[in-house]
Amino acid sequence: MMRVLCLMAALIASDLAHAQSLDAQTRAARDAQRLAATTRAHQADTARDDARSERRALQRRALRTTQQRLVEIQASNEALDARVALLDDDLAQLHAVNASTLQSQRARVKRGPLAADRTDLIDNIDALARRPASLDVFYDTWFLLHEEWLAGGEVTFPEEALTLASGVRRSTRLTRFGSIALGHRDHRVIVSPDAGLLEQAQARSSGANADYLRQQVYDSGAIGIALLLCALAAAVALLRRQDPGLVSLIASASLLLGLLGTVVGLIHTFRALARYGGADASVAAAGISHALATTWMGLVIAIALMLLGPAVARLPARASVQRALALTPRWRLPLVARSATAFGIALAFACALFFLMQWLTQRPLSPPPATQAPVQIERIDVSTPPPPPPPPSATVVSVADAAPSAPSFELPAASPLSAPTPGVTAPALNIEPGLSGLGDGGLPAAGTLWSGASAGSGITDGSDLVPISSARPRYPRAALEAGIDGWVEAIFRIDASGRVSDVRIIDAEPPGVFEQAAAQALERWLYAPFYQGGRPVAREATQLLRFRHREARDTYLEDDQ
Amino acid sequence: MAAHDAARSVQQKIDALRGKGPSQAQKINDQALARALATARAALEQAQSREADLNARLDAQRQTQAGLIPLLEQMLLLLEQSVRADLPIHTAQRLDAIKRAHSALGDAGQSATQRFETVVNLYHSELQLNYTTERTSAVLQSETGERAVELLRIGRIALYALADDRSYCAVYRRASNAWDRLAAGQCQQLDTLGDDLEQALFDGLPLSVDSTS
Repeated sequence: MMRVLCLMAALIASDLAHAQSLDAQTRAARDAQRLAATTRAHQADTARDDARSERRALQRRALRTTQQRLVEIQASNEALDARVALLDDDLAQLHAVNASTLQSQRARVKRGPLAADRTDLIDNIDALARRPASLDVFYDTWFLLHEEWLAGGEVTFPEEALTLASGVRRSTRLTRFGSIALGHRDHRVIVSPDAGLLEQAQARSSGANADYLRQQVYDSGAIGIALLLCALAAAVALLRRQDPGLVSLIASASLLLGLLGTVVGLIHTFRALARYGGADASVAAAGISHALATTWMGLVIAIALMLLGPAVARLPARASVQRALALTPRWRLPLVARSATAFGIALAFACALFFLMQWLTQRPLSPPPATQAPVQIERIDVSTPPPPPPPPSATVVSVADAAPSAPSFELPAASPLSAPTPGVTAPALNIEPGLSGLGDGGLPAAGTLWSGASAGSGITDGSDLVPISSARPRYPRAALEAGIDGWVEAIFRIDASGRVSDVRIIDAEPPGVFEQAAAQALERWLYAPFYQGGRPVAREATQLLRFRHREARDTYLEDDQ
Repeated sequence: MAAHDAARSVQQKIDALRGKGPSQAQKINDQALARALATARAALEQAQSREADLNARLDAQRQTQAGLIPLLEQMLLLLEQSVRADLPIHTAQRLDAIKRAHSALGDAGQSATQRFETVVNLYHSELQLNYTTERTSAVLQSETGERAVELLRIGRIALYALADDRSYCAVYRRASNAWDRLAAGQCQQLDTLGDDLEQALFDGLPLSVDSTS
């Protein structure tokens, strides 16, 4: 029994020992696993730390590099700042000279006899003066200066004759084309030595002659109207005395004075027609029409007096009127006041009649058909091309048809010049900035024209074409009235002297509306001669003309007046 | 006991490993570094933008300056051509002035502004001719010999010659570059031209340019 018990105890002890051993092994294994996991985590952390350290090092290096670069750029910027400021000073000085030049030109334009016609030019000078200094601005200033030079001058000769209507002082404007203009809007006679423009110039000249005749007639009419005014004043005074005989006499005198004014006007008309030619019936008609105005006025007065005379005769005597009205002596005006009142009433009546007459004779007539639209001639330089200067170097690819020897000069690419010619209003036309040279061999694109587009650097590369003078297309009246907008693209040839010829329409929208007007206008354009190797050469170019009726309407309505 | 010691040893190792992570200070330093780098990069970007802007302005200014002299030369060339084709009004003096201005363009001692001013002033003096009239004495060469005349200039559009004895008067025609003799009646008009120029022109006194009126 004891042995059994001992054996059992030994077995139990053995089991216990084994169990403890197993437990220790298990713990050891678990600890080993924890250690391994921790070691792996540590290794990962170490790797991350290494990466972080490396990134940190990179960041530090990048920071140093960035800071160094920043310092360099800041130093460079300071140097650049100084250079820019220096050049800014130069440009500011140039700008000041340019602004002074524009200011002088503006003052000359304002002093000119036709300043009222040149508001567009003045506006553009102002706009140019406001632009920051750049080569484009200097080019534009040059163009304005040369345009003024080409105009030939305005020499004002005041004339003392005053018209009763407005008392305007007339002046004479002379241009290099032999233009003669009275100091009124749109009265220029443009005479061109160019045969191609002779007919249009004659038409314009006739219109100006008509204006001149009208002015002459008004001068004579003013005499008649002044007489009529005095007669009317006397008539009113007589009416107050109720003398029918004198009223009839004044009525007859008014009629005769009106006739006298007409005769004087006709004398002026025929005298002027004899001087300037009477081939144009409209010229004679305009003068005679205005000469008859004084007769019209005399008739109106005479008829009025004749109708009123008997009625006045039937009125009661002045004393009875005063009694009837029960006027007390304090209401009676002195003789001078009564006369002044009568004269004032007469003056007002005569002025009303005069302006009524003006309105009747000058009100716009119904517009003519579009096909008979009057020819408009804008200022076009058609002078003989200048003689050749010493040939500078100009390397421009161009086409043949070159003159044997000619000056080598090229105009620069025009920067935006919105009002290039004095006295020319062209709101109806927007010229696209691209004028493409199409010479043989595919010439590069040419420079820009007016309008508001940017002109790029403004430095000519020798392939630029610039119109010295351009004519505004006549907006077809039918299109204007119908409110049709459109565009026309044309190709044309610019000969060695800069004249435009062989205008062909490439495309138009809408078709059949603006082509003729665009072609007629382009044929009147003139370009600076284009030189290659010291010789003027011909070129081909394309031009896009835009027609916008909204911008044209005001101008053409004004033109029609 | 031994197992217990072993377990403790393992735990100590684990604790030691865990204590080796990045410190808080390091993290703050890293963030500061990142911020400094971002700031520096932004400043660099701004400086580069300004540099580009300044370079563009500088280019534009250089372009303007580079194009100015060619522009002035073109202005003078065109003016010279125009003067040669103009009425013979002090032509030699005007061409001489243009020549002097052209010489001044090559003067390195002059600034761009001075050169520009020279050319612009030349234009101004030319434009003065547009707005003035002038009476001068001159001697005209003709086939019959010399003739003392009085020249009357009206702007740059009319140039008349009137002999001192009033027996000869002429208008200079630009188209033909020659004097065109006028009628005797027009000589009388010329004699008193200053009094009523407008009437004289309307009475048919011709200008130096072709005219149909």
